[in-house]
Amino acid sequence: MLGVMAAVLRRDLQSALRRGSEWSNPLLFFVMVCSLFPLGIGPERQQLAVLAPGIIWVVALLASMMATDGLFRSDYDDATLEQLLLSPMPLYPLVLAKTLAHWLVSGLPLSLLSPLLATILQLPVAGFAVLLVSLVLGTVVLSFIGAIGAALTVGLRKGGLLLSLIVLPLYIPVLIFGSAAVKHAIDGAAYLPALAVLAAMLLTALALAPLAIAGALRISVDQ
Amino acid sequence: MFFASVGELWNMAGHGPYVWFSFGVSTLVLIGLLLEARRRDRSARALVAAAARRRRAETHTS
Amino acid sequence: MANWQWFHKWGSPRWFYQFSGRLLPWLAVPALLLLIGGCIWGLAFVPADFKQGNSFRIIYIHVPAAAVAMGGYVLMAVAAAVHLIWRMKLAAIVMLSAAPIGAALTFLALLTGAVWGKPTWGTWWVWDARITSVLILFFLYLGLIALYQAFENRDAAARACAVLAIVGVVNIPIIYWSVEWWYSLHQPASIKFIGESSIHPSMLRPLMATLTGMYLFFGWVLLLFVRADILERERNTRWVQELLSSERSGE
Repeated sequence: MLGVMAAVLRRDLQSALRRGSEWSNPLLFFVMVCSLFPLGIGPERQQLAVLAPGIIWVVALLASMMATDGLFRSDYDDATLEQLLLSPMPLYPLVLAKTLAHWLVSGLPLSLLSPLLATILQLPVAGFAVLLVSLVLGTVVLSFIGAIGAALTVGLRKGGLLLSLIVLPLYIPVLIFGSAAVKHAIDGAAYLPALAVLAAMLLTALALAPLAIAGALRISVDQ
Repeated sequence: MFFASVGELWNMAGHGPYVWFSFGVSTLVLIGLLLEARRRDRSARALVAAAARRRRAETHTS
Repeated sequence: MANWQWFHKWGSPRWFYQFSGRLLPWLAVPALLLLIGGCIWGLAFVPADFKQGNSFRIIYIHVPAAAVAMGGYVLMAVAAAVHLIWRMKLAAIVMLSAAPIGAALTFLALLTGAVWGKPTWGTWWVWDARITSVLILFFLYLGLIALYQAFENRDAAARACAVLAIVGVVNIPIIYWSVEWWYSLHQPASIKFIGESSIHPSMLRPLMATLTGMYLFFGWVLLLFVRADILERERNTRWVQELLSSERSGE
């Protein structure tokens, strides 16, 4: 089972790295939209510092969502997905491996890039480490929720905007606790509880989301 | 009645517009749901009738 | 096997159509009596709230709409699970019929909440925990309806919506709890609301009437939607054809 998971993980990572745009486009989106905010709000440092945790988290959420749109698309188009569903392997580990591979090339680089954007947006230094950790934990959850939406819409011609309507309401708890952890860290309050909640969401998503993703993929391929 | 007159009931010490607007819109939405139910029923019945006509036409030709 | 007879009976559209036809007046009449009576009672006979004045009377429509919208989502998710597990077509019809009704009631709850806010808090919109939760519930309903409309294949659409409804209902407690927590974090002191503890029993009784009335109304409209959908799906079956031709000759 672990062997199959590793094989799926390796294959997906390799194909993602070969097609650079798949992982670089969401990152570019993240950087560009974050740098739009000072232009819309104004360059005052104090004001930006207050808004920075929320801005970075909301934009990270949007970038992650746009990245998940393509999660199953290529596999669906070249019928690899059908093969995977027909194989005697249980779907749970396959889906888990695919989603984790996707997170490694979308959520993880996004999180690693966040200190740079935090600097641009004048986020106080006290929040940097917590921002990074909260994004690492939170984007895994976002990837799993997004994967449910991607699996439901993969068979549809116009999936993109629909995916956002389905998925954004489900993202809200992650947004609340992610940005709150950063704010608490800046204010010198206890940020560990919020991070612990994010970790709990991560474990719940790991346990339950693959079931929904597998079910949704079956429906999308069967139709 | 809690209010002394119909005029006071209508005015509700200044809150009348808010209260009556809320109840008015609610009535409209609930009636709208019933109308939508009737529309669905009628369109379904029209489809049933169309299916019946098609079947009669088929039995005639065969 | 005998234990499963009720299940097949309930799953049969024909049986359900006949059964629900007999049920309709038992929902419609009390629903209208309770809604109209409760509203008149709450509007004209209950004393005004000593803090909010008369604007609190909006509660008699706002709370039932919000509660039934919430309950409607849970009902939808239960029907979704029944549809996915036992492939019961009737459950899919119930699920898909509940969505637009629930969305309409959620909209009503949001609108009356906003109108209530203006005289009470001096602003149309407050990012209060409960209103925010209802707003998210509205988004969940709209997402589900949008997903259904995107599919061309009706069966696939129903199953996809069933998955989404179940995912949604698993998430709703987490979302509500998160929003509560978020609100307690940011709660501005100026809009600390009266809270339900101060509600007087004489104010509560009409609320119980409109709440029950709204549940019955939901059941009534749901049955009407489901019956129309059954007729449409089963239009080529013999029982529908015979039923309608006998109804026509009876008139």
